[in-house]
Amino acid sequence: MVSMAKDKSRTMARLARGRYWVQAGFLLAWLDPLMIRMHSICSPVFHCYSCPWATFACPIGILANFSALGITPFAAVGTLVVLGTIFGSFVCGWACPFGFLQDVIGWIPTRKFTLPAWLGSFRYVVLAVFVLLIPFLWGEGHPLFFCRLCPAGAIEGALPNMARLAIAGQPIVWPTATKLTILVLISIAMLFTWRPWCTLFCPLGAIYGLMNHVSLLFLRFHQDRCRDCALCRNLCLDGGRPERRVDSMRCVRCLECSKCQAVTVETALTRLDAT
Amino acid sequence: MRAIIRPVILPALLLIGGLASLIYGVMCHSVRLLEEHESDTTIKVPAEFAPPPGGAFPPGGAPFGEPLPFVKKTVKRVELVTVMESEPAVMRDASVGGIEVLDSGELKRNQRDEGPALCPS
Repeated sequence: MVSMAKDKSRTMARLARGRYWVQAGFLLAWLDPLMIRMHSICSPVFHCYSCPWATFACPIGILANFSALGITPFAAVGTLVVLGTIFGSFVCGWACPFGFLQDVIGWIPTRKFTLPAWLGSFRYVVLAVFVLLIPFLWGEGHPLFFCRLCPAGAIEGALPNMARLAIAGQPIVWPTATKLTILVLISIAMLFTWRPWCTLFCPLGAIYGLMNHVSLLFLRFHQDRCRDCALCRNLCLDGGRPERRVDSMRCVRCLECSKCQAVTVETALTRLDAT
Repeated sequence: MRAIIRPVILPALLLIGGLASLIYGVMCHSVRLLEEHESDTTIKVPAEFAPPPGGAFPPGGAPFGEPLPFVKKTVKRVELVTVMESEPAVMRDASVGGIEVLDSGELKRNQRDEGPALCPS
């Protein structure tokens, strides 16, 4: 039994080490390698579809735009619910291109600070107010319409568009000062804390985080295997405490903590066995 | 019974609901849009007035009161037509601000298949 747990732990550790490769692989898929823009299909990740290299549509962009138009986005909601129910926030940790960018910038060796867990609740405010309420009440012309603030949109849509216009010798269309300020602040924050956008603001992460409680794949902390060595806590990039709450709403399921044998990935079937 | 609600029943319900929503959105849900349609139409317009040969009017003056002859002319006509568009198509157009809400509350498509230069933000 103990050797099986160790084997599983080793497999998890190998999987966690390969996460960046998986993220890079997904990035290639999102970046329209076949030059076929399929913007009538909703992707499960945060990737601006104004990006010249976006294969699919951004789910948050769809929610915001549809809210502004007063239409219910059945397809986008269905996509998020299905993938969230199966994977939860694995999508954030393993497939999101903006999360990958934050991870890559996070490699720069600077002193990192851990943000208080309660700040993660602000993501729900962003989702409710900036993605749904403001577009619904005032339309997409409002300065606080989510896409007008989104830093992913600034990096992936606005900046390439500015470069394209500059190269073509046409007048440059600048994004709003608010959008550029948010981009600069988030970029600086990426140097000093792990995934600041995901932790504080990401409305998509808020949705997936909520589904961590019911997803078919989930993390489990085995108290009986714990040696109080604090390894899982030290490995958690988010500064969480896996020994207390392993699969919190803030967790992006990077599986770093699963290098400790007390933490494993389970399926709903094993959850059923345990009851 | 209570023990299987969270691990099994809730995810199963969410999965079924999500799949139903996805299938409905892709295959059944359509949105009414107004769209500008340009068409050629033939109208009758009065022929241009041509003075009589030699420039001299007959005795008694110009032939006022006689109707001018009409000629047929083809012109471009723009009219708003209502179309039903599938949700995926609306998704694509909304991504570049291609759909606007009119004061009347109706939705109007103002561009189609345009690139990221038209991003509303």
